[in-house]
Amino acid sequence: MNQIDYVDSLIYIVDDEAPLRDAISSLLRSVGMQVASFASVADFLAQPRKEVTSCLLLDVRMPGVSGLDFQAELNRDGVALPIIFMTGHGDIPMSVRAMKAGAVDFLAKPFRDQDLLDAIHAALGADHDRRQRDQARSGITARYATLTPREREIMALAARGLMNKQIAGEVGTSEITVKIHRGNAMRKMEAKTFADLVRMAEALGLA
Amino acid sequence: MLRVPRTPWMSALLICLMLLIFAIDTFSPLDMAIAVMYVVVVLLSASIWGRRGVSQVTASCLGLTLLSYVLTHSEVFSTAASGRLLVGLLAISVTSVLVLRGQAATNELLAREDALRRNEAFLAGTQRISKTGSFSFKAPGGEMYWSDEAARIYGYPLDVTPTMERILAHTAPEDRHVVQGAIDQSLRCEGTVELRHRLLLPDGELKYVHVLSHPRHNKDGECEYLGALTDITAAVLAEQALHRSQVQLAHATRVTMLGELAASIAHEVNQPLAAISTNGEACLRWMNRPQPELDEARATVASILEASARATGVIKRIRALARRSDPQHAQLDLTAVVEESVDLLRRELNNHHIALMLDLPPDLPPVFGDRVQLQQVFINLLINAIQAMAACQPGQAVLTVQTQRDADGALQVCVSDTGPGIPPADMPRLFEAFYSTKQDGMGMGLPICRSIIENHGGRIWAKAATPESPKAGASIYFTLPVHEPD
Repeated sequence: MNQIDYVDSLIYIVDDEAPLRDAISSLLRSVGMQVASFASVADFLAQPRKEVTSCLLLDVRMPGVSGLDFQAELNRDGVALPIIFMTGHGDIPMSVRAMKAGAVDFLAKPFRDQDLLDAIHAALGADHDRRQRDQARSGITARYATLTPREREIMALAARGLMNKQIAGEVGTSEITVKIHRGNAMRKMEAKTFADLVRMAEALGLA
Repeated sequence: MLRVPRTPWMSALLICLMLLIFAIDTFSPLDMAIAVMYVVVVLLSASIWGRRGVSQVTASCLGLTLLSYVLTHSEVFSTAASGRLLVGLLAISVTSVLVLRGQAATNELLAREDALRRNEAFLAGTQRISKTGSFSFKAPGGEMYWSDEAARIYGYPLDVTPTMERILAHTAPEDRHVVQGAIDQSLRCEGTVELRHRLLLPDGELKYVHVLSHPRHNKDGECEYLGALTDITAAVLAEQALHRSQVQLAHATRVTMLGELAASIAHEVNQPLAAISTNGEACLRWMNRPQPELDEARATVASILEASARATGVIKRIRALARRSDPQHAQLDLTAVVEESVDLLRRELNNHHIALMLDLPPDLPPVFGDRVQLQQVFINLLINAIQAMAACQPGQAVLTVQTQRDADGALQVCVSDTGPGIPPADMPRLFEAFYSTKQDGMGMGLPICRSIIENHGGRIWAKAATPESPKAGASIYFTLPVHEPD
């Protein structure tokens, strides 16, 4: 997480006040970050997002949609972009609401540059991890797709902690057959140990 | 009616004189028309008695003369004596007639003088009560007359000879040129003179006077000004006190207004400060790179200067609004006043998701007024509109500020919203003090707007939603006279 390459990441800034937006942009560029800045949420949404490690610096209060509403909207749409809120006059209920809704940080203007950079660093780290997790999960899902229905059934039951004999009873087959299907599932899912298989089943929501 | 002293002594003396003449006439051996001496009695009686007394005296004298004749000449008829009798009777009668006539004339004169004196007393009394003196002034020569009240107003003893120099000497130094101008105009006999100026008396008393004089030509063809001079000090002081309290009230409501806007104002100052500090940090980082990026650093410094100018501007504007000072009327660009007012409210507009439409034609003529007070009017009207639209559906709230010239050439400003509008029942009392349609309203906003606009020579009124456009919301209009540069 500490080894994030800024060059390969992108920071989105959405703030209707041009002077501050430009200042933040300059600050971030001065430490080598890539920046895309927007005057409004609509402008931001109109631009296709790049599939790189990124985070969003968002002013809470803006004309049109408020920052918090926009956060809720992104959450609904399943856009998992870490958000750092900026506010001119942050009140506690507002920051609590933002943090509960998944904001990474809540910065009151004017903020120290190091606080901003730290917050961005943390947000990019979180996004990086999430992307890796997503990538891993999409591997598991792809491998899971290669399993036969019987293998899937047995994998789920095994992950739930049932003995081979119990599984055999459950699906109405011999213990030997269960062992073979289970071995196939382990091999296809690329699980080195049974514990790996259980973790994967959990990631897939089987257990 | 009669003013003759009726002292008993004089009456007794006169009766004695009459008896003495009778005695001499009757008992002395002198063959002379002694009875003519009764004339003296009749003459004197006029100064003691009235008409009736004189008539009675005359009758007595005539009677005594006849009695005396009868007593002395009853036996012997004498032509000479009869002639003397006739002369005597005639003299007494003629004198009596003349005396009576003279007395009547005197009485009439006295009555007239009385009336005159009373008129004069009336005039002096009313002059005193109304603090209005009168004066006259002859055109080429400059001879003057002034009434007692005028002398008192000018601060001179009543027996001083009135002159223009004396008036100038007691005129406040700053107003001397105005008074001198009026004097010069009068000397040239050029129409009505009207002016208002201050007097500064030697004891330090300051008076405000209003002078109005009309020229007229007397029967010799000379130009003579007849004028009235009124001491309006009390009225002027009351006016000034009213003006001061209006200024104070305007200031107080302005400060209250700033309090309501505190969050917006804090934001307006905070925003540039944030830009400054972030730009500063960015600048340092650009400079501290192994290869300093001077162009980027320069750009951040330029932004710092811009942001600091903006913060300074905001603070200046707020300080101007918070300051308590007498209105300073100057030539103003109304568009700039609107924009400055909107600047302080931008955050309020954003927070309430209100769209602002400014319809300000670029070629509007300047107005003459006090920037701070007019800003107060705008901010007040804009806040009202913002609050009126609090319940608007998202996207429905539109605030419009429109300026245009009206039919009379004055500037007309309209601030309108798309809120629920003004209920017809509230319309007549809208500009009344302490009348508010808001739950926590003070009821001072619109009355202050009205007093400011009216002090600027304009007019302010409201327009409710009409049946044709029931959803139009409220509109407040006001006019300001255009300032045409000379």
